[in-house]
Amino acid sequence: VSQQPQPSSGTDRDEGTQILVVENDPLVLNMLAVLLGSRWTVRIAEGGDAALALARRSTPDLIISDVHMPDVDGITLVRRLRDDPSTQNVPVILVSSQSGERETIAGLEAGADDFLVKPFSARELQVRIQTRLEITAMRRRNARQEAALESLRRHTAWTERLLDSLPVPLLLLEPGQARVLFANAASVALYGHPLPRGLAFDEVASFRAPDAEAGATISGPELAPASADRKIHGRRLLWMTAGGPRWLLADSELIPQYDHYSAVAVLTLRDITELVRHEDDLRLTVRLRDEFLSVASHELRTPISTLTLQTETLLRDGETKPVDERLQKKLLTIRNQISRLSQLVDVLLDVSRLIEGRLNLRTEEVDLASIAAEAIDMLRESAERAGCPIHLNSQQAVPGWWDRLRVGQVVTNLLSNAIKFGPGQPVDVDVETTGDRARLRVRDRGIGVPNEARERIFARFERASAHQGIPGLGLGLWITKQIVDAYGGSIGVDSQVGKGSTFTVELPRMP
Amino acid sequence: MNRQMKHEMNGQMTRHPYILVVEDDPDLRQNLTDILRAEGYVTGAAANGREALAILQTSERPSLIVLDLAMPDMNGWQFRDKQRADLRLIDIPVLVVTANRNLGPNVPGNEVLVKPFGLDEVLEKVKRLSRAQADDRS
Repeated sequence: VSQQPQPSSGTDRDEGTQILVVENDPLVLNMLAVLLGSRWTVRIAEGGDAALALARRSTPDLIISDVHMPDVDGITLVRRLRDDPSTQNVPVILVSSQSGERETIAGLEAGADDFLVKPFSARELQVRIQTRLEITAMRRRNARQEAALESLRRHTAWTERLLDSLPVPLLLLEPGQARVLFANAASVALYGHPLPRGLAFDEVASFRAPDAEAGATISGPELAPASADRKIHGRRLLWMTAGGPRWLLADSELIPQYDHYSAVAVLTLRDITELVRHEDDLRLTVRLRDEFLSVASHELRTPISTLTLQTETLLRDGETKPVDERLQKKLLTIRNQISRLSQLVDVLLDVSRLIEGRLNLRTEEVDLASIAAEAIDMLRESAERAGCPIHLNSQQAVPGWWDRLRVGQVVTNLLSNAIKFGPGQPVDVDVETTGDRARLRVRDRGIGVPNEARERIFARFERASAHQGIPGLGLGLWITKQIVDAYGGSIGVDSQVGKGSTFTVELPRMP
Repeated sequence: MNRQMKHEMNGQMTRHPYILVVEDDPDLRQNLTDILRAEGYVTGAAANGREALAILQTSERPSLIVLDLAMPDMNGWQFRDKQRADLRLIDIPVLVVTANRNLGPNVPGNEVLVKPFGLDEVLEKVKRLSRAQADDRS
């Protein structure tokens, strides 16, 4: 063994690498320690037992051991190292002073990685160690990569199992390309055909936009966005599945590349076929109802005309001829009831017209204050019957561009409600100009509107007090709001239950 | 009837206006003609536009046509088209009867009676329109 370390071998020092030298000859041990210590961190053991103890306490990166030692020889040491999980992968180079094939084979069979026969040069030893360290490092790297890949495979399998358990059809697609990366069980079940991995989505599945959007075909890449701003949200699609066309609500999300995971587009397809069917049924029902309202209110007008004319003719006859008082009284009742019937029909017709969006406003310059006064006049009789004195508070004319009849209807509706819901109490009406708007306020001291009903009362067929035995269709405020809306105005209510309500309408004065 | 006869007796100069009522609802038709006759008008009645045209071919020229719009066979609009195409009929005033309150400027006649209407309203409008016709002619 050469005593001097070769200068050329002392390249980079690698103190992080620990080499355990096992040798019972102190001279050789010292020589090896000096030689190897110039490059690596060296620990020494004078026999096999000591080496095992050291290796178990702190695993070295490599062990170089003499074969011939008094207590535990090198071959036994290798066997014991290989039997212990904590040391089984430590590379071992055996050194022997005598060459012998049997010994070499025994050493390699025991699990040694290399075998050196004395004499050898310092250079040879260093090269052998270096090579062995590199091989070990490479193996370690491979093992780490293998472990990472295995972990990724397990995670992916786990994720796919989770996604398969979802009831919502879900696909993972390659962003921008729409190649299928994964299709969960629900999506395959919905589609009725397999959705194999790697296939272009367009080749296996056909999507169409709703008829309302001309029924155009939707390409896969549209559903698998390559950038976050191309994501789709709640888009309605028609999917041609094995079981026929299905309505879907599609949502897509882009998950960018992360660590070992490549970027994916997540496409969820919620099956809303049943909902759409119900929606269609509902729409048809509503349309039939509205058509019925329109036809019924038109058809009712002719018989009401006949009734009105007949009754009025009889009443007129009563003015000139002697008649039965009782009969005359009954005729008056009949006339009042016909008039009520006629108003109800008007309301129904208004509703059907408003639904169809044909209010046909005849806008002209009018005075809201005088319209309010006329409305109060018209309701004077029923207000007196209900014990509701109506006070109109308007300092001056409130001119604006509106439909006289419709705005009159707004006032009348609010007043009728005030009388209906606040019998025996006074009603205040304020009309004023506020800048470019006109304001109408109707204040009653009636039952009031509960907080939760404050929005609802302006909806169709809604009433705040359906349980209180006060008659009505629940259309007055809705009609009122439609008229106010048509002029770009606003309507609101301020109320205290049991104390009364104030309805405030604001209308722009210019069209 | 008595009243009508009395008017006729009063003088040959003032002929009582002849009103043609075109309305498909038999009760309302009867009703309207009764009311008008009670006021001294002479009336004719038709159940639709086609009948009205037939009557106009043979009867005397009415001072006013009371015309319902929604009728089977030939409706009020179609009748108006025919009337406007006939020079002998074109200037007969028309009082349109309709359930539609929102005809606006599209009313196919001189005035409108929106159903349901009252007695006073009918009489007032008939009187005004039939007299306007009479004034025009004098």
